[in-house]
Amino acid sequence: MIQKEKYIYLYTHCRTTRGESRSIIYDLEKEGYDFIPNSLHEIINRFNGYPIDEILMNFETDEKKIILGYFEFLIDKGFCFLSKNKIPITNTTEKYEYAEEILNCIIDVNKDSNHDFYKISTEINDIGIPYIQLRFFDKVTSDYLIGVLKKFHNTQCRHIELIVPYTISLDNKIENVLEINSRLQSVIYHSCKEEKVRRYGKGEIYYYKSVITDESHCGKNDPLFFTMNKRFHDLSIYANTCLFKKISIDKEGNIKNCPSLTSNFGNISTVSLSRALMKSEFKELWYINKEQVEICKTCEFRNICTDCRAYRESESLYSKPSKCNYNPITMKWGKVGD
Amino acid sequence: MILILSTSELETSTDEVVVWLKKMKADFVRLNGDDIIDYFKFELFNDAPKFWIKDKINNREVSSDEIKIVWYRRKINNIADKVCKFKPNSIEDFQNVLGINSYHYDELIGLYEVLELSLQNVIWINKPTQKINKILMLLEAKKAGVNIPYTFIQNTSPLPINKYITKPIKEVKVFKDEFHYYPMYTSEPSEQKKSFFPSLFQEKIEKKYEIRSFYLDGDFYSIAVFSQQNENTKVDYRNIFGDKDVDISIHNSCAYTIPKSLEEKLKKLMNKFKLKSGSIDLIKGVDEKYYFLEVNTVGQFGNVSDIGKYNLEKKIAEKLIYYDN
Repeated sequence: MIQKEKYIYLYTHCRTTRGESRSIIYDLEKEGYDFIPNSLHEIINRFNGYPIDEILMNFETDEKKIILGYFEFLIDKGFCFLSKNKIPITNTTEKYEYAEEILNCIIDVNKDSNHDFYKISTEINDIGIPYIQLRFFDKVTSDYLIGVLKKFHNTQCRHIELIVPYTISLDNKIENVLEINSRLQSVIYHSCKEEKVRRYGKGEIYYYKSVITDESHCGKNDPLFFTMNKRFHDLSIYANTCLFKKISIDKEGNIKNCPSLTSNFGNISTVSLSRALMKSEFKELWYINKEQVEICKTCEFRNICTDCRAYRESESLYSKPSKCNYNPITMKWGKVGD
Repeated sequence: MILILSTSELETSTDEVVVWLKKMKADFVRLNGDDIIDYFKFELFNDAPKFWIKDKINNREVSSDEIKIVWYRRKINNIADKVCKFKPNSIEDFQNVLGINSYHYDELIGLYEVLELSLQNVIWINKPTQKINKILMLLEAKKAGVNIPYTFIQNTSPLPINKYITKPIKEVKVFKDEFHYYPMYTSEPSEQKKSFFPSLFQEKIEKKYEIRSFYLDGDFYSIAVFSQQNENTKVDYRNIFGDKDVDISIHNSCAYTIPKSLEEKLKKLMNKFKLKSGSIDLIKGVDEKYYFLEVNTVGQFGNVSDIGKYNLEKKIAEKLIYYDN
């Protein structure tokens, strides 16, 4: 039974987002969410840090019981807590700041690619990019991967991720690849027969069935890809959670914000990454956030869902991602293409 | 010029400050423990001692005359292993290696003292030789008007159990083997023992929550950690997985503001010990009082920064640049 004289608080790492037909409440540390009615979203945001009996004074007798039930649910699930006294919790309006000009870089490679990885790694180092994703569409040998990774030996990046088609011969020697560069912490296989995850040293090896033949596999919106952490949430409010501070080199060597986008800022064989970045249009999409995107702006998932500006429903830069089939009005997920 | 004294490994917080310093085009040199043994010159002139070190990133020699502010993060650790490469085959050998390592370690401490001597007139965000005695700190905190837990040291039985916690008089030690780290945590003695080493005990404060406050040159950046929901972490919030990793992020924690009056008292305490920065551990008791536990002068601040969204890495970089100008 809830003691009504106590103050009720929403933990600062728990947030709510209001949608067209319902709201969600989520925990940015334990990474879980629950649906709540829009009325509860209003109550939480209006009365956070109030004594329960004072909150109840605002409601009719028959509503009071329902509200106490809501509060019990919120406390049970660990979204809210009670305190005998007022707590000087700071609800900061600050946002996380990033010293890095670019946070991540995607490099696409297929059998026709002709990248100079030494030049690329030097330029990545000049900018100081902390995360690199190397995405291979065609089969490669372990020796080839080792050769590529060796070019990244002297960079100051913190994390390298490898996406590569599965072959038995590569998997047999993947340990040698992982050992070549301590920053390589995850290998993601596509085109596998079965799905599994395996740990290796500090890193993880993921096996996925999906076949990735080019960049067009990307941009799907699905609960599987929801991200619940404080930095992502923070970013979702003012920037694009996918394109912000991202630079890419597509399979042909073209420098882009994302390989799936059409805007091209020159080829890596003749233009440096830093030079491409200086073009003002490069950052054009960085600050398009879900509050501005059609449909998404009424969706309860908008602060935990990724946003793709490459595959859109219409020409408008603010149209809904075409690979999303969620309807915030009916609250139903349809099949792709619905 | 800004001088950062750090280590090369496990210094994410320092790494992030360095990224900010680069972005802000600051004039700085980072000297890791290992760099000192690679390149170090010192001369005792008539008027003043002077040293030269190597700035590896910019490949230049830097003299002590150029330095205006020092941010002291970490002393060398494990560097002794790099100096003495002899592998012991017997217990005697092993003890000699320990001896050689401890000799080198002391010599390095000596080098740090020389660094400090040569930089008498610059600002230090904390001097390595500044003695921080836990007991003296508690005493001064009490003098400044902050509550402290009742504290005593004993080795006579009966062992105080139930209402007390125990922690080292000096520093915690971390042991490790091939697979795990075994750090020490504040814990409650749970069973009687006939004899034990003289140990520090403190009255166990029933806590509402813990507060970790990062102090930087007069300002406090605090978070509250609600560790009471989890049995494992009731005594020491770092003990999340029983005795494995140290990570507070999965806790229920949030940005917090300590009262101005407490800030003033703590500021006095920090000034008394000439500390420009440090992580202060506090408890808010169920009795609604704030209790001071201790100050860690070289602790990590990444968690406080992240949880409280304080962007401390940027604030530290700005502070260093401010003192450099």
